[in-house]
Amino acid sequence: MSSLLSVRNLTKKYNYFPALSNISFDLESGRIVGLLGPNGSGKTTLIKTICGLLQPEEGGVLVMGNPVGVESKKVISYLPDSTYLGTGMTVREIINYFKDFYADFDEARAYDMLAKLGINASTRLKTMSKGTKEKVQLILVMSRRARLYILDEPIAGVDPAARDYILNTIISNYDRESSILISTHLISDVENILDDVIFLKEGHIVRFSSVDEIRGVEGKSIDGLFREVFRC
Amino acid sequence: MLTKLVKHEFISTWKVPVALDATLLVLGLMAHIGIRTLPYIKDSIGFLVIMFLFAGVYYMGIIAANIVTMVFLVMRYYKNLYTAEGYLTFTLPVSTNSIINAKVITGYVWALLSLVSTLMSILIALSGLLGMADIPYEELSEAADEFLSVFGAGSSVIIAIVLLGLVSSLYNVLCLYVSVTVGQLWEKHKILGAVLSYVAIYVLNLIVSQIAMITSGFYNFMNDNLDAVFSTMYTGMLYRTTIISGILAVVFYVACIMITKKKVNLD
Repeated sequence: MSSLLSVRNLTKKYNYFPALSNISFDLESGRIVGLLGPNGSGKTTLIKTICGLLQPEEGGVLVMGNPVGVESKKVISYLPDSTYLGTGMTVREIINYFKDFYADFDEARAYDMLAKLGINASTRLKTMSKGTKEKVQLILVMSRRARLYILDEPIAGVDPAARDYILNTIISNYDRESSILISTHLISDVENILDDVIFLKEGHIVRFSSVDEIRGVEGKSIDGLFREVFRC
Repeated sequence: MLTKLVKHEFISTWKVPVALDATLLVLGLMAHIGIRTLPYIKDSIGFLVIMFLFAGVYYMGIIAANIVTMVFLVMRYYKNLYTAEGYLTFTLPVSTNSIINAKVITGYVWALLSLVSTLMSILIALSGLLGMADIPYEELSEAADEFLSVFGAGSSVIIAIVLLGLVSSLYNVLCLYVSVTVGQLWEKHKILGAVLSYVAIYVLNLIVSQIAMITSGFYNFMNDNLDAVFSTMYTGMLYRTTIISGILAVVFYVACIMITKKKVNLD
């Protein structure tokens, strides 16, 4: 059986400087994988390449056996690290937009999450605080019944209470047949939900292990191992 | 999916072009009223001042409305594809062709409506001349006939002008879109890249147009052949301009698709 996500010999350069160097890994269904690394390690570049927002110089990506394209985009639910919705739109308009394009979008789930957070669907995004906008984006992304969720820094820039809400939303809304690739450098906040970790350093994968292995065999926390690997 | 993209594109863009087109029509109406008022102004200096004021405001208004429409379209294209909004646009489960086609279709519709509104505005303004006490209808009719006899009143000229309007509107939209797309190939200063691309395309178009004028014998006619039928030359020139604009529009469209497919890099 093919992997949910298969990355092969991926190389991406900026101005001849390699942001990703010959990266290869496979991701199976039903896993929550932390993509961990310091700033500039290539996390966002890897994510954008998987989502088709960047074109690699070499190598390729297969999602459920399909190269990056319409079919792969049908099954990936992507949360970027910045506000990407038209700010002139109301939440309801954005929900209608998602409903039109994503066959796996669960409208009822979206409205349910909005109600729990007390967000009015008639509100325009431009009148919302940064934190509320990020919550709306997360609600939209997690309201899809996608096979692969790719979340780029979903908890950066929000307060600890909001972080708890976001992580809880992620855990409680993803299908067990699906996988989540979550990029962050706030490791202590996410390590309890992770099954596997990928350590990325200067465009190279320096570690791909299960969390149980790191904790059980090496007797270290993910945060502890991260500090050891990426010590300045 | 193309239908859905086009639907959402119209929903997101209709307000500004419709407001500008309505402004054009209101300007035409104001100019109409202004022209109607002129015979009642007896003071010759006041007459001239008001006439120039009307003409100036109207002319500037028409130019501004058309420029703002095109700037709005190009900004929408840039923002929706090449800023953070592109993260959503390019992760939708639709082909790149559909994304570009939706932008071209909606942009073309708004550009055409802007052209139609401009023409209607001018007609509304000029209709103020009809029925004025000092200018008999017969004189206006004679002036129109004389004008049409020079530029050709036949259906071929009208068809040529309509075709040119249809094709040049598409050319204008695609020229802006391809400039933005080429600008994205720059590592930094992407907006500057887009502006320079537009200038380069504009200059290239001027050169191609001049070559077409020379090969069509237009300048020979201007210098030597004063007895030739101007309307025939004029029609030929319109068709040549239409064909060149059409070919360039196709080139721009293919370039937009190919560059976006192969080179899209949303940093």
